[in-house]
Amino acid sequence: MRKIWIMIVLLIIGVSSHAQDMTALVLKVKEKLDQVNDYEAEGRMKTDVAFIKAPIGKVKVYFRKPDRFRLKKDGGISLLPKGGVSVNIGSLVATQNFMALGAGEAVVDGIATKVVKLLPSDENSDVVLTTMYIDEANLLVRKAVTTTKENGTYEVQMSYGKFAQYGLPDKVIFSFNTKNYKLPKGLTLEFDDNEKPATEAEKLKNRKGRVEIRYTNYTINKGLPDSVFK
Amino acid sequence: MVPMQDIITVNNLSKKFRNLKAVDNISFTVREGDVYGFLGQNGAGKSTTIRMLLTLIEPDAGDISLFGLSLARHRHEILRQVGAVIEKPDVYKYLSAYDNLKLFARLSGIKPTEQQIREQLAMVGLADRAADKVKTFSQGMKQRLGIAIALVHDPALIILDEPTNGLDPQGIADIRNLILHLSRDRNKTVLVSSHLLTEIEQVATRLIIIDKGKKLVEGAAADLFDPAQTLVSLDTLNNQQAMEQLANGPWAGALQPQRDGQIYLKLHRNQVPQLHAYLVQAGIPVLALQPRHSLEDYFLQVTSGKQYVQSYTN
Amino acid sequence: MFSLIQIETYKIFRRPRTYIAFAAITSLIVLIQFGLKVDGKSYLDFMLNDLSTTLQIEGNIMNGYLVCYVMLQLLLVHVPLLIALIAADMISGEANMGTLRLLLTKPFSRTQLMLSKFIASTIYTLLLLIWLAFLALFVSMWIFGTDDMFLMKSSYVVLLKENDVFWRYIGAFVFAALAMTTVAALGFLLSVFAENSIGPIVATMSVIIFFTILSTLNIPIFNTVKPYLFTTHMISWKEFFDIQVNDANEAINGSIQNLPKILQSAAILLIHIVVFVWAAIWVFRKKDILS
Repeated sequence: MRKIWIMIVLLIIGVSSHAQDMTALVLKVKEKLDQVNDYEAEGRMKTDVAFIKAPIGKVKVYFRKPDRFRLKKDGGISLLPKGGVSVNIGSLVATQNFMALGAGEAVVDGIATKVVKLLPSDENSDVVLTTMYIDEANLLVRKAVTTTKENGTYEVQMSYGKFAQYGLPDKVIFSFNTKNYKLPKGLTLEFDDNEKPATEAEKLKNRKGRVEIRYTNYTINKGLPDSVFK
Repeated sequence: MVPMQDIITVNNLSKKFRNLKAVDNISFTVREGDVYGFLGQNGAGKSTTIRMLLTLIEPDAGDISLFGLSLARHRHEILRQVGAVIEKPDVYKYLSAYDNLKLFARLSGIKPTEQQIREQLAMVGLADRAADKVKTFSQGMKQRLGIAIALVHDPALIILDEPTNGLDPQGIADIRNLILHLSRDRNKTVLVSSHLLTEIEQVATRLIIIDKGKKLVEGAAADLFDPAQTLVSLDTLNNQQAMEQLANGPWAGALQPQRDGQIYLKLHRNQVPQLHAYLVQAGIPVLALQPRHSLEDYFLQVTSGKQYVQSYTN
Repeated sequence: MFSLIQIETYKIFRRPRTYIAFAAITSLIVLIQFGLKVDGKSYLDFMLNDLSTTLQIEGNIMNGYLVCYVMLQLLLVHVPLLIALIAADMISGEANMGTLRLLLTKPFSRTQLMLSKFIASTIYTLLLLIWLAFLALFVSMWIFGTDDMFLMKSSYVVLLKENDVFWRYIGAFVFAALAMTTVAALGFLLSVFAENSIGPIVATMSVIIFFTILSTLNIPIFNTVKPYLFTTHMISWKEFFDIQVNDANEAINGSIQNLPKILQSAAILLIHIVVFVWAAIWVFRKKDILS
């Protein structure tokens, strides 16, 4: 009986100490990100969804601590995964209210990372679970997979370059699931019935959508008016 | 003197509509300066012939020449010198008289000045209605506008198909006077078709009578009838006695063959009162002594007394 | 010939009937513009219903470019009827009025007259389309502004950049002119056979409606005939608003997804026009004018 108790205690200690380690890592990442009070970035956005034909567009991204985030297209109409793009690493780790659990290691884009599962403790949070792949050496988040209550699961993958020191990526790829898109032909007044070739029809059924943003320039800690977040 | 030119020469013209021979081997000639009467009952083939002269209907057989040129080969040249009113004088109802006249003048290849158009309208008595839309016009006004349109390009030949249709007596008289004016004062050749015999009789210099698509007779009006000579029908209480009296008296030369028990005499209008006086003096009680139009009677003869001639005379 | 065309055009534009079409188009467009201005959001919400569950769509979607597209879709089904009103009356109307016989005794050939009349109906058709373009495109651009064009097709959506739209409208209107001229040619042909105005107008409208229904019905047995119906090709103007994507699924600015289809449809319509007009002239040259 005592043996069992010891086992349980050891287990709890073991798990919690392990979890504690991961929290520290996340906090270190957060600390690095905290150097940035605000930034304004320019980038080029590409929407890659099977049923969407959209050109590459210029975007501007604004961020201010702790969680103000705004993506603006340079005029025009933007198609963004619901809720997805507005989530950034800064806001993911903005609060203290999470549990960070280690879940082993993985390689992302040839870089060894620690896998950390973040569980928000707030019952009302839309985010159910975030899995982060953290590059421990550089304190950079290479990939994050977030499952939400409302907007499904999406994946954010980041590549770093010039602004790695601030923890800001050069390229961000959002991957998300889409529903099938179909409008009745009567509604769109399409009469022609040229069936698409099988491969193309199959392509349209691909339910994975991607939005890719390549940042060309960051303006960091120069202050931003509130109006940009409207 | 300039020799008279043949304006219209038609040879062996035929046209069939399904099984109906509308025009059956008709030939005739219209000479320069003629007022040529084209006579026949409704459906006789007058309109079909006229439409073939104007290239509206393609003949099945036969030749048509105008101004000495083949119609088939020189259509444009010929039509430039022809003005026509074909049956009803239909023009663009949504245009004014002025605009209609200008439009058809341009279609005939001329560009008249405003002055010329106004003069033309004045000639047919429409000067004060120039700006009014044709849909407000009476039948007579449309007819006069139709004639103005036929004349606007100063054609040498004028073809009038049933020009008096639907007109009141004044309108009929106006048309008659206009035809005479065109012929005498402006040296136009006129072809006028009608089933109204009196109209033809009073204006035509030459005429043709057709019936059921066939030509019955053609010739100078003077040869076919003498306008001065009138056919008089006589009805008395005793026609037998009257006949004997006349046959043996001074009026014997005027006697015509008896028809329907009536006595006919051909004489000058002025002689009618004298004839009446003679009969009274001879003790013959006269019931009726009625001068008849000569051409009508002629028409009666050649078309073997059609009912419509009777109905017209009433 | 030139003066004949002038005269025929003059006649068309002096008729009150001609302006019915312009008035009808004006009122329809104003009505749709008003409706979309007032309640365009609910229309959009309805159309975007499916999409907005996964995507967040921002920007001035209901802008002049989309409004014009929506209107063209609706109007280019109705405009043929307005064109039939004039084109199918070109010969029969004159026969009915009685002016045809007088017209044909004038010194020009029937072929010349027919060509002039057809050209005049084409001028009318083009002016109607220019008026349509002015109201549906330019006025909408003025009322609703311009932006990227977000187009929902039945199996995919297309996003065209603002600066990549206008030239497509030029192409679309040129194509529409060809399609509407085909309608005019059909009406023109039918007008040769009658001596009243109503018959050919109704006949033309019936043919258009019947063919359009066949083109629209998605029933396999009809699908085999569809490529042979000119109404199927009349809507190929829409192809101007479909864009090519590269291997990375990026839309290529200034490209057209299926240019050969547009050209093929245009060629088919052109052949229809030539055949209709040629047949009309051929029949009319032999016709005895009895009206």
